[in-house]
Amino acid sequence: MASGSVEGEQSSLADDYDALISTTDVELLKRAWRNEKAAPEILRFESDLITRVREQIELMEETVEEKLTVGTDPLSVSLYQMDLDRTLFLLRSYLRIRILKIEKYMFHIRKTEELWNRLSKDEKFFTERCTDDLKKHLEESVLSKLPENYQSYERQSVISEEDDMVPEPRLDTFVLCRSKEYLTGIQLEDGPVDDRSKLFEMEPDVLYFICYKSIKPLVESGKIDLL
Amino acid sequence: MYGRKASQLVKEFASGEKGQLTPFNNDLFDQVVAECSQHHGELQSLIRKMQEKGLDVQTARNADHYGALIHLFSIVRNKRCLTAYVYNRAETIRNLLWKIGPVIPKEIEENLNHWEEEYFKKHSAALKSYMSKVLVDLTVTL
Repeated sequence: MASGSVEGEQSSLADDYDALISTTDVELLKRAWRNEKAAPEILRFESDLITRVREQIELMEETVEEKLTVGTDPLSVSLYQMDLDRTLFLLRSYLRIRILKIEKYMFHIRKTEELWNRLSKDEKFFTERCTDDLKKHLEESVLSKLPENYQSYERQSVISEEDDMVPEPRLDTFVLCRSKEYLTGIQLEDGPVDDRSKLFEMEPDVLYFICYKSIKPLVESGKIDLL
Repeated sequence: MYGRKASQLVKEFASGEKGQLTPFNNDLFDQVVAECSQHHGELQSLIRKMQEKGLDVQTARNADHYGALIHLFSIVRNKRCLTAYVYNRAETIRNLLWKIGPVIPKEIEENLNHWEEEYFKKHSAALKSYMSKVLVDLTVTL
């Protein structure tokens, strides 16, 4: 038996392990959390993943309970507890980051169909309430006291051609990102005008610092991860 | 007039410590609102003047037109400043809610005006409702 084949076997085991680890729900949650943290706009709600994560959290809580009652050694219990805490942390942080983005850009999200469709059902309720509350607040404090023609909370006056008072996130900020595969055909949005037609490529597992706008669709399709 | 007081209002907010709320400046606020009505009156009288002269208000470009434009810009500038004042204070209020929870300490409550207190309560309720639906307390220190 040549040593080469043993090494080959070991490295393919390592690959399998990597592949397994990278698709556990905790890893997926971590990835969703990192993307959400780094992206300037709100991303699609990972509905299925979050449902599974919640079920797993419940399971973990039951496991910890059970271990405590049968008197398992404290070290083992604390390991299960740490696992539970870590998952809870990721879930809380993921939801909280999204809620903060909603609070910041509520009017924009409410009126942009693409963004509205990325929210979970509960987030949609929350956004509706938020926008109603803030709109009412602005109307009562300011807008109702102004002359007619200037009472819109979205436009400066009836003469405005678009909703010029709605804050939006800046999509041209730069983000650190990485792709798992070799990607070609990326159009850079921020180069000099005559260079904009030059297409950009990304090599797998290399870190890049790019304008978010240029890679927006690739983040949405899951081909690029943000860090 | 012409946006000067409005810019004072905004500067007052900007110069405050981030995350802290100064008392709502009702006086200055009301003065800016009153100026909007004044500008509006002047604007309308200039438009009337143009109409009396038989000019097409949409296309004529005389002194009255430019005067009216200045008044228009003043109103819109005032509106932006007033809205920015209220909007940014509302943002600070929401951040406070995250930091200290749904009960406002007396020292901070004194600095809010009546509508801001209402807004704080409403937003607090909205957050609470969301958190109870997702069954996760998001205000736990992470």
